[in-house]
Amino acid sequence: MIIGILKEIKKDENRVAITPAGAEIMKQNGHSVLVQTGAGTSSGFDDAAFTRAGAEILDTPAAIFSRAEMILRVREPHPGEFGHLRAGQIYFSYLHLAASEPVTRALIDSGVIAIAYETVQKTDGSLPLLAPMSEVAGPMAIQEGAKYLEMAQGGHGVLLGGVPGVDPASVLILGGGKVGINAARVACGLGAKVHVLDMNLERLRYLSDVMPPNCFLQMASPAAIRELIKNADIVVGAALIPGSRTPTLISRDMLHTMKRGAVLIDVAIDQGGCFETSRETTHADPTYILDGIVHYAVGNMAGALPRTSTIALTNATLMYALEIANKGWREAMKTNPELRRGANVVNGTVTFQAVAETFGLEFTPIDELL
Amino acid sequence: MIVGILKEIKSEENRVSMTPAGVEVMKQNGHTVLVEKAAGSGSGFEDAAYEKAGAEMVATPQEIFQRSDMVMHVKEPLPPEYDLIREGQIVFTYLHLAAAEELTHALIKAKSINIAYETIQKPDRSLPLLTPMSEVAGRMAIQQGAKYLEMAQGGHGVLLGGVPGVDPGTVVIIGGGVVGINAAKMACGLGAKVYILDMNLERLRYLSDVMPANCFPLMANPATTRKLIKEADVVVGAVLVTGAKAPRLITREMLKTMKQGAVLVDVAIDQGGCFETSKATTHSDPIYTVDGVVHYCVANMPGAVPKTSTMALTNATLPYAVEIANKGWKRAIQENPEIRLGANVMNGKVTYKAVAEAFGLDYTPIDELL
Repeated sequence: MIIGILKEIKKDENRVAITPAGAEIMKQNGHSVLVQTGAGTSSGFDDAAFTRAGAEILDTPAAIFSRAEMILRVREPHPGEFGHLRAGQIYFSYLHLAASEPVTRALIDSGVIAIAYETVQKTDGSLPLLAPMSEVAGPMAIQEGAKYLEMAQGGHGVLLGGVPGVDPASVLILGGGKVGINAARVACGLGAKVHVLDMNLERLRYLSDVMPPNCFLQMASPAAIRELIKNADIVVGAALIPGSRTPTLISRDMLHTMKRGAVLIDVAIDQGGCFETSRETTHADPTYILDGIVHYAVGNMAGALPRTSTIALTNATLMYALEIANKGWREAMKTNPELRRGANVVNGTVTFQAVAETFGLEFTPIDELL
Repeated sequence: MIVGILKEIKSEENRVSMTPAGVEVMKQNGHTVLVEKAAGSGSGFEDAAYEKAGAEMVATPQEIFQRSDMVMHVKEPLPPEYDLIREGQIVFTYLHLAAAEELTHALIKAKSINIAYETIQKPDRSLPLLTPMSEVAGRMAIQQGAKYLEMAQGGHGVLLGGVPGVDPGTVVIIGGGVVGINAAKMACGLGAKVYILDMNLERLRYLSDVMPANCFPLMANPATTRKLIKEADVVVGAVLVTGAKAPRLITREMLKTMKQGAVLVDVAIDQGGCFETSKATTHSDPIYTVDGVVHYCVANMPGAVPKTSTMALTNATLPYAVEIANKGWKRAIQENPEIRLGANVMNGKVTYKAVAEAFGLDYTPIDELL
């Protein structure tokens, strides 16, 4: 199969959908890899590295769209690219269609096979192509919190880990999933007092087994949140419910019970955010202050660390991309239920129920198309 | 004794020289404490907290200077205060006179008793009133490195701790003293690969005993520095030579061998910096890039986290301040050799040799004045 790797054009998106190491594996499996010039630069992979791995470097996205049987991408297609999409072409990337009607319609009209990273799902319910980005965003949340606690940044001037003789900061992490555990691990490593709240008792038991002693676990409840935010220096919103809007865990009228100069980090902002007062920000202008509380709510946090994020993402996507390339999309979906869940728009029909419902479109079960 | 606590007037200085808890201890020892209004607000201590501890709130610095037997500050007196200092008055604060000729002359002229935090020294040659700030700066250095590795900040986009399946960042810490070990502790806690270089083999043995397994202590020499900076994502300059200018460890020429988008954090900037390309920056504009390498060189790093820094500093200064207040300066210096080394300018005479030498002034051993 001919695989096409496009340069990302979305603002603040510096990742790339395959590494030279991944291109080499594709080649070993008998596929051709086309890479748009400069696609890997921000992630630390120059064209020469892709060439050495056996990829062919092309100048324009148009050339890649016209030759590739599968487009491998980080982000959804941009409006300027809609016209390039070809019927029967596979488009495998993050799509987040429920949030974008124009992209959904463009994929329907073009007749592509659109498979979304974020809905590929394992039989245990986990989302293997979202997990790596949660693993990046979790630790980053603590680094951001530590930075924005500085007084010049609006914070109240506390060092996260304290120093001998001075109390460390208190970190409250709402949600003990992938983001939460990775945030907690780093906050504990910095020496903070860390509280993690989760609603799943089994998960709390697991966290209790693996986390260090400065990590305190509690069953999540509105009462526990109300109590713990009073003393928190950093609150990390890490409650993510796949495919639906995040619940609001801290309302505006709760902010006044918090310390002036505490920092809220909303890792769930891509799903609407878990604080009532969250509004999405960018890496260029990441924070704002409301009622004395610093808010950090950057969408696509992992985009700031493209070297790590690209490798983390492609470690997870490569084997699915390889399976699609080796078997073709139909056979891959027939034999792998994880990939079947990734089918969003196929041959002009919507095959993911939540997307169809969001826009009042007809839903076609993927099985009818296989 | 009447002890006066002044509000800091230097830019970006939010610390205060005594906490309400310290006031209470002073009162218990029979002293009167005057606190300038709002002196503690930058550190989270309201006037009401000082009043509850038994302090008298005073509106102006003039009144504090007029009534106090000992004034305490964090930073050195600034020109508007020179004429307020009274003959025989004890001034106990950071002074850094060897870098401040005008201030030295002002203190000589005032005939005050000027005891410098930074030259108080224990028999083991450690500097107990610099240590707390080194602890804060060392821990902060890693937070800064992690933050400025973000691509939007000029960094090359690497998550310091990595994620499962992706290499963590490499941190090189030059100097294994108080700054270095605290930086290493944080970097190790984040999960980075940490190299710490020191020239003292005993210190390396100690580091090897106490640091986690992801910390590699190495003998410092130019060859090792040259080799390690090539793979470093963050380099922390933590070489402080007491009372002398910091040595130049990384030249401009060597920057070329580093990764583009790596971050240099120069904790020694207050002593001139240990990288040739370092120039002091501020918390409001902390970084600049030279030859593709991000430089963070904020002078007075602990000023960004005044709550932690104030407590760390006053934990260390209070016992000395109490001893001076209880015994009077003469007896305190006679009985405590640590305080004796703090005597810088006394009754119009320079009693600290390095200061006298720096400005070609007469040196008077402190013993002649006791």
